[in-house]
Amino acid sequence: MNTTSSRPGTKPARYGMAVDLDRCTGCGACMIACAVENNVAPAGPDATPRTGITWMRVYQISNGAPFPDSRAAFVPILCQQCGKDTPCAAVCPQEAVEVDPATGIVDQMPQRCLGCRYCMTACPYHARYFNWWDPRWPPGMEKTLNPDVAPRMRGVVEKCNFCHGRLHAARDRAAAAGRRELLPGEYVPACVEACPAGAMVFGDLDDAASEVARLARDGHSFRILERLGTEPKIYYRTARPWVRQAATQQRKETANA
Amino acid sequence: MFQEHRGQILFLGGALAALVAGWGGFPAVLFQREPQPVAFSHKIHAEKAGAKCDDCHFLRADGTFTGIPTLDKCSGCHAQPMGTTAEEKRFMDRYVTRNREIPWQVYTRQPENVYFSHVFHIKLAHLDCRQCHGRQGQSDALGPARVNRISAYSGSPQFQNMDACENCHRQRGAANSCLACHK
Amino acid sequence: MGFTRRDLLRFSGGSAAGLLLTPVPWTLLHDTAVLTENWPGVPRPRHGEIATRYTTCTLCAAGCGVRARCVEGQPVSLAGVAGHPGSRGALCPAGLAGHHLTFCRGRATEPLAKGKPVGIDHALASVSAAIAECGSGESVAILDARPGRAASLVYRRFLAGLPKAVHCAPPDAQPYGGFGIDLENTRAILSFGARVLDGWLSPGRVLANRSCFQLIQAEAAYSRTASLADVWVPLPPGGEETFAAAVARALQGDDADAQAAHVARILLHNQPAIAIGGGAAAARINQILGSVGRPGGFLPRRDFMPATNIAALPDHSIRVLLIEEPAANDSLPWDVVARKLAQNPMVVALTPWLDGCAQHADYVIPAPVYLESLDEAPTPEGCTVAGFSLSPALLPTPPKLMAPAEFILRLAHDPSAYSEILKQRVAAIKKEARGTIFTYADAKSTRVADFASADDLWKAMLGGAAWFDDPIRSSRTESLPRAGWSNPPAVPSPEYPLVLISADSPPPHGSPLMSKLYRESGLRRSAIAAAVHPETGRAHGLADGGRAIVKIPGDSFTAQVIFDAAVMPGVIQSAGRASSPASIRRA
Repeated sequence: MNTTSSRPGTKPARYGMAVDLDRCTGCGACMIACAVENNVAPAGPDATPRTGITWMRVYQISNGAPFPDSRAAFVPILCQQCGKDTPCAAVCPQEAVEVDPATGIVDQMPQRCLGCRYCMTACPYHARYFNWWDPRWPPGMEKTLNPDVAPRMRGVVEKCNFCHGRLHAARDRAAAAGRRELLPGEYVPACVEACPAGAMVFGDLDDAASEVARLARDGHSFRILERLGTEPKIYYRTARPWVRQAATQQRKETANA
Repeated sequence: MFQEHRGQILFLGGALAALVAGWGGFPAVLFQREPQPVAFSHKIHAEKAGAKCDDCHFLRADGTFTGIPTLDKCSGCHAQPMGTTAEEKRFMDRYVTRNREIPWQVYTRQPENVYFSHVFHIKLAHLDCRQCHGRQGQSDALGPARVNRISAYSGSPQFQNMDACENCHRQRGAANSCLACHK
Repeated sequence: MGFTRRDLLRFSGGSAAGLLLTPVPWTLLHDTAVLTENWPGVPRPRHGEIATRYTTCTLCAAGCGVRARCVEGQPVSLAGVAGHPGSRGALCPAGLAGHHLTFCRGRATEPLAKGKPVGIDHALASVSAAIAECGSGESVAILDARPGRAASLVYRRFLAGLPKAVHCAPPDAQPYGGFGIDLENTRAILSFGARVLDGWLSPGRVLANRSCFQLIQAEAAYSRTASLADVWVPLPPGGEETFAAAVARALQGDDADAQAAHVARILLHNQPAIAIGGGAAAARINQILGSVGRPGGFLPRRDFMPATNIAALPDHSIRVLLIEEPAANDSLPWDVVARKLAQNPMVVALTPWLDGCAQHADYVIPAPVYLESLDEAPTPEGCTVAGFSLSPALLPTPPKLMAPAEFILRLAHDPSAYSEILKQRVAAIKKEARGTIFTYADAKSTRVADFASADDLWKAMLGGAAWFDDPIRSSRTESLPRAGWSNPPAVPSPEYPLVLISADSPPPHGSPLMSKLYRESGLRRSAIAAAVHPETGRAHGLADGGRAIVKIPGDSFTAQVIFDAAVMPGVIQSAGRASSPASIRRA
């Protein structure tokens, strides 16, 4: 399936995010809000950190110092929405992954996926998750499912899509007012809205006036595994050198490298 | 002559039987005809009640579409009998009095993973209802819905797969990325 | 010549070839595939009209404003209320999934007497009889985890009509007494183990002000807050009072150790500064810093209703104890409570859950959970003015449940409904004509005096609103009536050479989605994890990732060992358990 056109009458956007690691306290509100919004089921009894589905997952990193000088920082990892040579899109045998030219979002289609998990191997950020089991909610809790997102069955891969259900709802609201373009702030993913520390900013990276574009250009911003050249769209920010060091995991350059 | 070409004739006979069964018999068997629970007439409501399409099927302020109206729309007028037909009486006894939602069959029911935005197609693409829904709004009787027995998909001719949608999108240069229409 | 087998094969061959030219095989393949994708096991969301409704979260003392997205009346997601003066538009993880609580397992669904279902009238009669039979020296007590509510007034009115009765609270209730904390102007906080960055006061408020204050976390555990604080002072378990006394000495210019002197310097250079937790010695620090009754410190407010700390009651004095289950992430130290019960006590649990205080109760009166019935949210903890909001129900109330306040009203032979009590509270607010109402839907603040009537005010609050009192003109007063809690020192012995401390407390009842935080991501360690410093681990023959048996006086449990060089040597860091001496060996 070749997506050729952007949406008529609109300027293509390149949605991205800026996450302030100096504000993140690792509370996990983003993880819970993501699961609520996207109809992700709670862990089955056999789930482990490798088999649980967490489209948004917060990792803890340490400054490496032993007691009593240890300090922690928390890094929320979600699909980095790679913009160039997107690894998962390149390897999918089913063309179930596509980079949308209108939004820059890497679209994952569980209904096309055949579950080979090649994309999970290809993703450098481990941001893709496989449904090992059918989703199961306690009796009655399926009433709380979000109608804007379709639940997935077992055997398919899923991942963050920047809350596409919210994008649809925002476009609907704008269309009801006769607009094709979205105003800044009209479309916000669940994790960004939920963060109690206000550590996450979302918007159009190509809109020079937007806050996320300004933060992305800032000297404190960096991207994870930037050296792979996949042009991820999630920018992380910190003023603490050890956090930047730990998050970017720079290899020590040797004379023979 | 039959004996000479016995093999070929039987072969062709088998092929012919398969073609007839496959093209004629199979669709009839594959689709279940589900009648509507109430014999609703769009024509009567348009003519006698002066109802317009968007009295019952309209866009809400947040851009969502009401689709098939809920019982309170009908009860708004039919709290008392509006006519003299036995069908209306049956409808009132079964649904209005018991405050039970009518289990309408949806002709154009889409799978859960499909996202269709009525507001886009009505307000921005300026499509007419008839282009996708046919002459339903002027009909005197609602025909049965055709439902695929195996997949439970709607048997509506233009909604068997996404071809009709894709073609129109291609012609008009509308968005055709996957998540534009899926969720 | 009849119809031979060869004829049949030819005919079938032709049919098969012809069939390939019909839709049959392709459609069957496609439809069967679709059938397997639409297995009935995967639930479908309900579609319908989407509406926004407002309420207030009652899962903890923060009382954050809640905006609920409802589909055909069923909340499908919750979010904070932008501009809310208390919560600043934030909700914590428990609050974000609060709409799942009504579906959680382990609910008390009908009144129980010693585990057997009974009618509510039978339960009322039995409890009334037990109360009437109390002899001299035997008291009736209601254990109220959040004194100061309209419900608490109902309890007091009932208890006042009895010869010997006491309104009491768990030891960690009302940590700041009748004072709020002027966090917006605080420049340094010395915290003795309070979870400042992990659920203290209202998370949105604390994090909105984080960059304004230096945080010194003094505790034994390498907790979330300790790992993020500006300074972590690793105290030996139970060493809070000693350290606080040293800081007090350093603040006054007397001799103290280097660490206390360092902390004192930070407090002096970043004024106004406060100390929280740490017992009486920390209260002395607040006195020296002059942080009571001053901007940036503790400010008094109007609503304080002191309740007796249950730990301070005489032992074996309570004959009938009614316990209102503390909210989701509070805890009830049962050993402290059990000591106060007289011979032949009757314990009545007013609770939604079967596994909390109901485990120790003779009678269980099932209560509604958050969102199931109209409730109140009192002054948010730490707020510098008195506050009140309603928590309107967003879900139908299941049958056979009775709100705790309603049960007490029945015991008192008062026919009022709990909602009428709340309406009277709102009418009192209107009558006093003080303060402002912040309405959630439009984020506007209106003076109480500008409402036409108590009825108008009631309607506004039912639509989602919070009342905030006017501030009292502050003046320097004597030290806080309460100075927080302090851990008793855990004394190691040859049998128990280590100390078990808690660094986290998973909410006892929360959405099953909390599995994402605890099991699926490893972001928070579970209650069966035991983290030790690698030296401590090796000294006790443990393996990283292996299993171990942890023994404490009176109990033991199996745990998964984690070697963590950040943890203090000599302690076992776990979750959800009180400090105690402990031993550990490989399982």
